[in-house]
Parts: sequence; C-alpha cells; structure tokens
Amino acid sequence: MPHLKRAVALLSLVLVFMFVVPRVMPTPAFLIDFGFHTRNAEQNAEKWASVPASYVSTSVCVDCHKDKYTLWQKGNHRVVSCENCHGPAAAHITTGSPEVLNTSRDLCGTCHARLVSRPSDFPQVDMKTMGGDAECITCHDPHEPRAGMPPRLPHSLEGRSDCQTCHNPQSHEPWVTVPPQAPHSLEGRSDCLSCHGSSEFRGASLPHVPAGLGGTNCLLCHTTGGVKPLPDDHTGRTSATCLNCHRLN
Amino acid sequence: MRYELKISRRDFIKIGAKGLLGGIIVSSIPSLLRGFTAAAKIPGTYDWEKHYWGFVCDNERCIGCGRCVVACKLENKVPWEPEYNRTWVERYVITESDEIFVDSPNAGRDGFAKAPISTKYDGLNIRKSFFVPKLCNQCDNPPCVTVCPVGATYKTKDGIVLVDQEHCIGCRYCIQACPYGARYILPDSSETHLGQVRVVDKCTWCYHRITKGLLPACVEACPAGARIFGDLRDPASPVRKILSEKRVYVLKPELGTEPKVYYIGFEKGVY
Repeated sequence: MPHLKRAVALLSLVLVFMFVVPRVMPTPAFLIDFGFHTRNAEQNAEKWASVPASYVSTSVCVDCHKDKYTLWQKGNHRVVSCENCHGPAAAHITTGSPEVLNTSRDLCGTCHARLVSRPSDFPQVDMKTMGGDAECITCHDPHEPRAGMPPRLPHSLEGRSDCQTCHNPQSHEPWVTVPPQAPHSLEGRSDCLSCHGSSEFRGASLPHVPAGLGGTNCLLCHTTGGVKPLPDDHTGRTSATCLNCHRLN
Repeated sequence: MRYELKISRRDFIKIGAKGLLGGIIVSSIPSLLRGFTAAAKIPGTYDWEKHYWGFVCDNERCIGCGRCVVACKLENKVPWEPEYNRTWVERYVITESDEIFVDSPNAGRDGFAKAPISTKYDGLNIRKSFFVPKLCNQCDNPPCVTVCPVGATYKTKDGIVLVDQEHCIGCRYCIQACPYGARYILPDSSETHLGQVRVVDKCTWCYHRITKGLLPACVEACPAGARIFGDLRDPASPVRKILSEKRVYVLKPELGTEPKVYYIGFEKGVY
C-alpha cells in the first residue's frame, strides 16, 4: 500500500511543520503583523501617546505662580515638584478650579517621619514630639521649610559640651574669624540643636574628604593648587577643623 | 443513498490550490497597504527611532513616601485598590542574624510613615533597611511579548513594551511569564483612558508623557531623586551619566530578559 505510506509521510511532515518548527523557531515579527486580524504597533503606540497628561510639571505652574516659585527655588524643597503636594494640575489649569490642599501633619510625615528604612542623611523627625499636634505649616513654610529658622550648626555636637570654649562672645584670643563667635549669649542654653537643627545633613552637600585621608594634613595639598585649592572664604583655617564640616567619604 | 463526487482528484487539488493561493493574496492586502500608508504620527515632532529610553532607581535615596504610586494611579487612572499597580514600593528589612523581610503594604500607596506599617518591625535587631521602587523593566528581551498568543503585546522602536488592549484576549499568559510581576488584569470597575476592562494593563513609562518631552509621572513626583529617567541614545541624559559613572544592577539578570530599569545600591535579597 504505497499510497498509504505516502499519505502518512506527508501527514507527519505537515505535523512537524505545525508543531515542532514553531517550538524551535520563534515566530518572526513580520508574520505577527501579517493578515487581517493583527494589531498595528504604530497605530497602537499613537493611541498610548495620545492619552492626556494630568501632571503638567513645575515649569507650567511657574507661568502663574511666580511668587511661590521664587521662594520654592531657594529652599530645600526645590527638589519636590509642586504637584507632589498640590496634586495633578491639569484640571486646575483648564477649569480654573482651586486645588484642595492637604495641610495635615500626615502629609509632611509621609516623607519626614523618622523611619529606620529611610536613608540616614534624609531629614527626619519624630512626629510624636516635633511641634506637638500643630500643623507643620504653622512654623515651616512648605515652599521654603527653613525660612525664618535659626541657621543650622555647621558641625556635630558630639563630645562637645561647652560651646563657649571656642565660641566665646568676649573672646580676646587671636582667632578672630575662626571659629566664629556666637551671635547671641550662650548663657543658660545647652541644647543648641533644639533651634539650630541637626548638623548631620549639612555635610552631605559639601565636598567629601577622600577615603583614608581623615586626620592627615589637608592643607599639605590643598594650598598648593596641585589639588583643588581652598576657596577664598577658607583663609586662615587649619587642617584641624576640616572634618567639622566635610565628611569622610 | 450514496453521495457521488463528480470531480476528478486532479481537479479537486487544482481548485483547492487556487483557492489557497487566492486566500493568501487577499488576506495579505491589508498588511501590504499598511506598508504604504503607515507612518508613525505620534504627537509633534516625536520620532520613535531617535530615542531609546532607560530608567534608574536609586535604592539609597528612596524614602518610601509612596508619592510615585499615587502619582501613577492618578496619571494613568490605575484602579485605586492596592491589588492593581503599574508601580509599587517594597520595603526590605535585614536583621543582624541575616533574616530578610520584604513587604509592600498597600503597594506603598499610603507610604510607610504611619502605624501599624511603620512599627511592624519594631522588635527586630535591624542591621539594614531600605526601600526599592519597582515598575515594568521594559525588557529588551521581553518574555511577555514572546508568550502572547495573539500578538497583542509588543515592543516599540523606542524600547517600550506596550499592550494593544483591543487585541488582548485577557488570557493572562503574559502575567505568568513576567518575572517581575509588572502586569495585571483591569477589573470591571476600572475606567482607564483607553476604556478597556478585563484586559491586561502595565506600566508604559508614561508613553503619553515621554513622547511629549515630559518625565514619567512617578519621576515627576519623586521628592528624593530616587527615580531617574532619560534617553539611552543621548550622551547627556541623566541615565547615561549614571550608567557611565556608577555600578548599577538589574533585577534577575540570570533570566536574560535584559531589563532597562537599572538599580543603584543593590543589596542581597533584592529580587
């Protein structure tokens, strides 16, 4: 029965092409785009691209809110876009509807509540004690959170108890500019950080001391111009105080 | 009664072959026509062959505020329930005895700052803890595209994996295939921009925004600079800068999916 053998051989060939070849060789892209019922990648991508945007970005907010923008630009919150707190602004722009703003402690705490999982150089406070139950915006302008606050201390207070040893307002020591004199009396004040904030974030933005060089004579290289020279406002400083502000890498 | 076929075998095969050939020619007309008419008309001057997008997540900077999750849901009309997410934030807690805890309460939508979420690991001796933002990796070699039986999901020329939701049959193969859990089925109650339900939805890196020169909504909303977006073809883009300066990692590199979300500050246990 040669005609049967022929049919079986043909059938098995067809089966191999139908079931084995597609497993070994993935369908080429042009075959997917072939025929009546196929999606058109370009048309569909266009469709996704035509979805309206709700978040318009800060560069649009500044068109009207120049005053807030100038303030925001100076403060530490300049990395936080307007719409993060105020919500998406597209509807506000087209309909002019006022934005409903959440001014609760919870919203501030979303970022600033102290959490073990947060990066340690991110400003965090204990929400239970900071400011009682008052809304944070009572003291902090959300557009520039440290506006009107006493300046932060430039160095860590660890192991230092008597500020007046160095910062004595009546000092007659030869050091006139370094370290600076405290602008107010230190009498009866012990907890400097209660007003001046913590210094632990201060060093983050300053150039770091290269790893392994802590405690060496920084000025050995940084005065000659061979390495990055000292800025002008550092005149008169010695190697002993570098680590007060500049962190070790 | 016997049914008689009044046609010779030779003629039957001839007619069959002609019919088959005709069918192939007719069915190829639409795709041939498309070749002449199709030109990408994505808004303005956007040319998808000139861009190739990349994403960086900085685990050392993420503060777990969850504003990215909120922004994503509002921007893309993702259902508000925590089961449906295009992006989410995971919390990793590693104890001194090297136990690793991972959670993502409400997908990070409500942040991690309030009890009981904030106090969940209070008794533990924690050695290290951090947040990891997650989203679609827009793989260069996407398994979801390979498995789709109807070709509804595809990769654009600028490297984004999109879903044609009118073609999707909701079979969920791609959800199984995605090693990163980036896909979900739109519930009946959802009211998305494209108006489909019971089909698969996923992060598009805000395709409607990046084609207009805006940043993805999550990047726009991030207050800590933990999400960075840019064009891999542009040497001046922030993503290219990071890739050339820092050690970066991808999720599950052993799977060969070639993800385009790069992580800074990778720790063991992040998966």
